[in-house]
Amino acid sequence: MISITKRDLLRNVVGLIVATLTTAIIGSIFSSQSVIASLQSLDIVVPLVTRLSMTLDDLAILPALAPVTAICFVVGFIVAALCVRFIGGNRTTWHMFAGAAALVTTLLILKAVLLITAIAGTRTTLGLLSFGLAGAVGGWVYAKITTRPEAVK
Amino acid sequence: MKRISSTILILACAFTSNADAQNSNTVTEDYYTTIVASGFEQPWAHEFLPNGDILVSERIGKLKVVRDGKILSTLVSNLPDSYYAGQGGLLDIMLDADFTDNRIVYLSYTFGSTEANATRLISATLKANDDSYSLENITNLFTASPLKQGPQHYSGRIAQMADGSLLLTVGDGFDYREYAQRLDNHLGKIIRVNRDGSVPADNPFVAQKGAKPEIWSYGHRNHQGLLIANGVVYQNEHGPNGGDEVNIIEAGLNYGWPVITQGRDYNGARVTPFTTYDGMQQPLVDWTPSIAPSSMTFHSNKLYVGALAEKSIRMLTSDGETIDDQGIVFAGIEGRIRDISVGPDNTLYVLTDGDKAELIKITQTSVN
Repeated sequence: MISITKRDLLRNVVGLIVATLTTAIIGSIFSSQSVIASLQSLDIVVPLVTRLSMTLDDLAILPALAPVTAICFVVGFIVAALCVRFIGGNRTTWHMFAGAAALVTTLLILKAVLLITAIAGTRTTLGLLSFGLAGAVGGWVYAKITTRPEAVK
Repeated sequence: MKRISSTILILACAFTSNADAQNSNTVTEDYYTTIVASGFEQPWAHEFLPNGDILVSERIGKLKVVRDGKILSTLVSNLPDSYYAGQGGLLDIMLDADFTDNRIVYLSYTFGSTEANATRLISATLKANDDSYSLENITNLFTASPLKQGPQHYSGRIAQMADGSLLLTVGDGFDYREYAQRLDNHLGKIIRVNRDGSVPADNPFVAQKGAKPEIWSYGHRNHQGLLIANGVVYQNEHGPNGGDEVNIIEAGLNYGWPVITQGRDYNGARVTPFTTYDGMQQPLVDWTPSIAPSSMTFHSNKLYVGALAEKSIRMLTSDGETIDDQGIVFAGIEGRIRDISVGPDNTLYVLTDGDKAELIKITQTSVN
């Protein structure tokens, strides 16, 4: 039987928050670059300062993106924990995979339901995979933060 | 009959961040409204026939007839099947300038499936039957290329130029916004074809290799309003979250979407870092935040624009080169306005949006 202490619970909450913010920020940055790349494909010149300015400005997406990411991660990380327990293998790897899969799956479900792409930067395969990478980073962050100290020893 | 009488009211409301972008005046006139007919489902456009009947297109794929204030139970028959989903379905209807002689009508609609669909323009002869009408001699004049996925941003508004050629707004397809800047496709364009569907020899990109010859202007998003008045082509289009525009359209010009806009994506992200760019036209009116303009009409030297999101009618003035937004007019009229026109009795008519929609006549008793 698994015993969960208050410290474990706190570690999981902090891990989820930090992982969510990390992924949302990386996802936002990737999305900005994808949108700018689409403009550049039209021979539009985007100076570096303009690129940086838009990338920072695009962090306005966080209030919308972070809650969705958090929900994805809750589901994904529960599945990852079950996989670790019943299948075995590297815990960090499972969580990285779960973070990536949860985010990509959610974006695909949103597109299937809305019939439009909710985040313009994910319209291309590369843009979608970049969000998967952001999710994997979130999974890594969560796994590292929530690793019990005794497990590290 | 509902009577509304009041004096001029001007509210100089100051939006802190958008005071320069949007006129928040409310101009109230003496007028009264009359409900001509009600009970439409997802209507999109209406058109007056010379005999007094009114045709009303419904996105669900029906073309209804209003006669003496009642919707006839018999629909206009022989309509082509349209793809009804999202913003798609049966869209605009317009009579040919010589309708009295040739009985020709033009219809725009969306066809296809969720995976592959497009905006299409047809012509047909409107044949009068005992209790309704039917379409005969249906001719496909134009189909937007390429076929796209998803049921959004078709546009579909029709106008006829003085030489008889037809203009049609074709939306950017939402997920295809960069296509609006490329000339190898019809998305995000106004196209121009002759009455028989052929390409006018004086279209601006006829001689350009790789360009679609039907293109008349480009760089548009989701243009719901198109109007020719005094030889000037007025157009409006929806921005995303902000950036709704009114433009005067000239052949061959680039109207900027998605490279320049005052709007943002619905999730808060930028569409582009630019609001100006060389070679791209600035809007003559920008509505930020969005009002979601629908159709436009011209009456007593003023432009009237219906709005969906703002649930309003706006009055604009223009000298043919500039446009000034005078603000909201007929403020007592509520509901999303889908279509607006001037009837044969020289009064304004508006068609509301959604289910249980109404066709309303606005009689002005004074103009301020």
